[in-house]
Amino acid sequence: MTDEPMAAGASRRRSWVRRRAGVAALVAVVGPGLLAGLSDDDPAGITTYSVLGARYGYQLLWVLLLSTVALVLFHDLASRMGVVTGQGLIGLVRQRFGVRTATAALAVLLVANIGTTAAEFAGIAAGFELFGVSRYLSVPLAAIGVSTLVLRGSFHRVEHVLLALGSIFAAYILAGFLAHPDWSAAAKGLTWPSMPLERGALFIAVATVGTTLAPWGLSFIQSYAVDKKLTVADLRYERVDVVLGATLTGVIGLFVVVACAATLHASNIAVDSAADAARALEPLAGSFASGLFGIGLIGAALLAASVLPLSSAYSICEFVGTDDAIDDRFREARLFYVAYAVVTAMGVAIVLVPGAPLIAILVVSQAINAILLLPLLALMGRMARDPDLMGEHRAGNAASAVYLLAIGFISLCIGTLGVLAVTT
Amino acid sequence: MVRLTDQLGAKVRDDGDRRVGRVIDVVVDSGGGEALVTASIVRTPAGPRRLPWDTPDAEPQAPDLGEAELLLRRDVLDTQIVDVRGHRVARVGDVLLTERDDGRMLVAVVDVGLGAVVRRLGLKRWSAHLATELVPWDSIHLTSRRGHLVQLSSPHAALHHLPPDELAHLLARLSTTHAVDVLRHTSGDRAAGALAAGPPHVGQRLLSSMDEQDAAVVLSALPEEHRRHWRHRMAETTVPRRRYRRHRPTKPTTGR
Repeated sequence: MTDEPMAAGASRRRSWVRRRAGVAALVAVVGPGLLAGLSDDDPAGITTYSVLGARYGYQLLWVLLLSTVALVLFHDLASRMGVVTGQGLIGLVRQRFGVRTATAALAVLLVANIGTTAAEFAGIAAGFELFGVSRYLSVPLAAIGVSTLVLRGSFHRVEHVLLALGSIFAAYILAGFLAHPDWSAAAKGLTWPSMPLERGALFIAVATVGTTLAPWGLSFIQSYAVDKKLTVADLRYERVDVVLGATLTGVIGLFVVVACAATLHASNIAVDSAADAARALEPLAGSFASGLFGIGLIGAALLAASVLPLSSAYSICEFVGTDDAIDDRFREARLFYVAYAVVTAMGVAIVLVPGAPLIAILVVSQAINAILLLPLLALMGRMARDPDLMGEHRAGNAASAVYLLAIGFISLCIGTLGVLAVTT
Repeated sequence: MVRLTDQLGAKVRDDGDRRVGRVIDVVVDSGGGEALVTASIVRTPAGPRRLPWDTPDAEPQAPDLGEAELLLRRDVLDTQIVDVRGHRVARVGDVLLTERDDGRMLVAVVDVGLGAVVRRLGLKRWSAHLATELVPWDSIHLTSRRGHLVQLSSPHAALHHLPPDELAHLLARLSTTHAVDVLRHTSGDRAAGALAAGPPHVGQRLLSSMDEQDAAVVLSALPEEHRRHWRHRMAETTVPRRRYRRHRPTKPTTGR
C-alpha cells in the first residue's frame, strides 16, 4: 500500500461513510452529544433551573443562555479531542501534563462526580417521596437496581427507556406556554444581562453554569466519542449531534425557568421541595402535576445515576491506561468495578445521612461543579491549542479567544460570589 | 537500569562547571530497530537546546528531530500503548534505559505498573509495595501522534512483523484513524489476513473508514467467498452503533 504520512493520508481520505452522507451517517454518529446533553437535564439541573425561575423570575435567563453557548463550545471541543486523539479527557491530561496534574484533575473530577451522583440519588429520593416512599428504601433499591443493570451489561437496552422517562420534563415546554408567561420580560431577561448584587443570585447563577456545563459531561462525551471509535470524517456529524443535544438542554432549561417564573415567582412561592417545583407543572397537568414531576424526576435521576459512576470508572481506567469496560468480567476489570461501586456507594451515603436536605444537595453540588469545572476547562483550552496532540485540528487564535472568554465569564461569576461570601 | 524520570530535571554543566540548564526530554533514534539514546533536550535561558548524549560538552543545537527520532517524555512517557504480544492496553509510567556492550544507552523496557505512577507522585515507600510491570520496547505500539507515525515508517517496528492474529489484536485496540493508518502501511495480504483473523465488527468498521482504493486492495487479497461476505456486510450498515461500552475482543482465529 502507500507510504504517505498519516496527516496527508487523513486529509485526502474519502471514507465510505462520508460518501453515504446524509441522514444514515448522521444517525450512525449521533449519541455522545445527545446523551450528554439530555443527561444534563437531570434532577439537579431541573431543580436548579426551578430555583432560578422561582426566586429571580426572568431576570437571570441570560445566564442560562451563556451557559448553553459554553456547553456547545466545550462539548464540541471534548468530542473533537476524543475523535482526533482517540483518548478520554483524563488520559489525555496525563499524556500532555504528566502524572501530578492528571492526578489532581482526576481528584477534581471525582469530587464533582460524587457530588452529582449524590444529587441524582437525592432526585430519586425526592421523586419517590412525592409518592410517599421513604428515601431509606428507595435510594438503596435504586442503587442496587441501577448497578445491576449497568454492570450486567444491559445498560444500553434500558438507556432509551430512562431517557424517555426523563423526557417527561419536556412537559415543561408545554407548561411554559400554558402558564401565560410575560414573553417580553422573558426576552429581556434572555438578552439583557442584569443581576441583583446579592449572594443568593450569584450562587444560583454559578449553580446554573455548573449544572449546564458539568465536569462529568465533558469527560463523558469525550470517552463516548472514543468508545464509538468515530473518525475525523465523522466530525461534522458529531458537531450536529453536540449542537442538538446542547440546544435541547438549553431549551428545556429555558422553559423550566419560564414556567417557574410565571407561576412560583408570580405567587411568591419558594422552591423548598420537589413538590414546590412540581407546582410549575400545574397549568399543564393540574393535580397530576406532582405525579408527572415525580416520574420525570425518577427517570432522569436513574439515567444520570447510571451514567455518572460509569463515567467516573472510565476516567479512572483512562488515568491508569487500561481499557477495562463493562463487558469485562470482574476478574479482568477489578479497578473498573471497584471504582463504579465506590462512587455509587458514596453518592448513596451522602443522601442517606439522617435529615439531609435534598434540594440543598441538588443545588449546592451544582455550584461546586462550577468551581471544579474551571481547572478542567483551562487544561482543555491548553490541549486544544497543542499541535502535538491535535495536529491540523488544533484550535486557532479565534477559537482559543472564545474558550478564554467562556472561562473568564465563569471565573467572574465564581470570583464575585467568593468576594460577596466574604464581605456580606 | 536507569529510569527516564530520574534523568528528567537533572542539571547539566559545561566544561567550566557553568550551569547550562536542566534536562527536559531525551531523544532516541528508533530507525535501526533498537531505540538508541542520541541526545538530551535541555532547557536553557535561550530556550530548549539539543545536547549529544555521549558528548554533553558539545555546542548546544536547535532541538530539531530526525525522521526516526522520538522524544521519550513527550511521545512515550504517560502515553497509552498497545502491548501487541501481551494483548493489552496500558499507559507508560516510566521508561527504563540500559547500557549496551559498546557503552551506548538504549530503551530496554517500559514500566506500565501502578508502582511507577505512585513513585512519581513522591510516595516512594508505597511504590515499593506495588508490582512493577515491564513491557519490552519491541512489543509496544505507541498511540501518541509522533510515536505512531515513526513506528509506521520504521520497517523494524513491531507492527510490521506481527502474525495476522496479533495484528488483528492491535487493530481492534487502536482508534479507527490509527488502525486505518496501520492497514494502509501494511501489504494487502497481511491486512486481509488480519481482518479475517479479527472480530467481524472491527473489520467492517475499518473497511468502511478506508479510502475506497485502499479498501479495494485489501478486499482483493481476500478469498472470493470472504470478499463477497465483506462487501455484503459493508453494504448493510455505515458505522456500527455502540453505546458507551466496549466489545471484548473475540479470540482471534487463524483458520478463517
